[in-house]
Amino acid sequence: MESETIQEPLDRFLVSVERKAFVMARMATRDTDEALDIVQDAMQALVEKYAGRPEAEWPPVFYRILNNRIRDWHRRQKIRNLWRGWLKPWSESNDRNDDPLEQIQDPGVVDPGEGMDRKASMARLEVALANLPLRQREAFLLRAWNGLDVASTAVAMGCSVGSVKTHYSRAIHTLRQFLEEYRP
Amino acid sequence: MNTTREPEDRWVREAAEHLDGQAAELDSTIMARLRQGRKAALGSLHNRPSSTIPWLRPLAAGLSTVALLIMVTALLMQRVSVTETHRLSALEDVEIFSSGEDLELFENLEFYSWLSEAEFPEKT
Repeated sequence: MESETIQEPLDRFLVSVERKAFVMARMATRDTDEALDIVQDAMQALVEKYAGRPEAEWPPVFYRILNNRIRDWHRRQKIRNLWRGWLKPWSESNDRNDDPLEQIQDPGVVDPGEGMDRKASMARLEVALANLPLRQREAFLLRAWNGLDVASTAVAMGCSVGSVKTHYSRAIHTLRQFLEEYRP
Repeated sequence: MNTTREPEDRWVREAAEHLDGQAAELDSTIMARLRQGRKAALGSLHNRPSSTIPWLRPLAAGLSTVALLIMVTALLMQRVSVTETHRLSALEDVEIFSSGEDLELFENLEFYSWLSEAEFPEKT
């Protein structure tokens, strides 16, 4: 009875957040499969544990689960990389180019003039976002993109309102600096 | 104040629009997998534990703790009463031996007790 009444609004909510959640997870992991697993895991956890909560609480709770999953993934990666580092001191990492600018996709010659500039600068922004510290990226994506207010962002990030403000302002500062630095 | 914030707001808005575009352009394979994940998650809605269980669990835990405490207390009380009885009889023994009375009297206690209870015809 209860399950049937919440299934529809829950489905609607998940449809409304799944794309953004995937983009956020992919940005953090840079891996499509990992991102899909993280999003599915977050959806599952929300349904299993928080479906009975009021609808207004779903967005911050869902993003909190998502962020926790992303952080767990990063922790696991860190440990995995640590092991790899110990086992394989002469890895091929020296050959890899870690310059974020190199990762920017060629915007192509689609729009001449300002259009191309804008596209290139957005591509740069994407790289800059992907390279932001985890907490700053969370704050920026939740506030600027998902439109969560400071209090909801604090719930989603599991920190105080003051910390959200700090992370967000640092994110804005870093991104602006990055964009200005590489402005053509 | 607002004029200084305007360019920042503009690029933040543009960034949000750009990310919106990214989210809107996800390919059909990704969308299919997202849909599949969503359906799987919603499928677990019927299997999730009843909402009464979350508050029943601590109650059950509390009740079992109380029951355990009662059992332990009862066991301890029983043990105390048994040792008390032993201690009392031991004290009585000490009293008897330390009283300096004739030990023979105590050895024949049963006889004296029978004697006092027995009914003898009174001599006239």
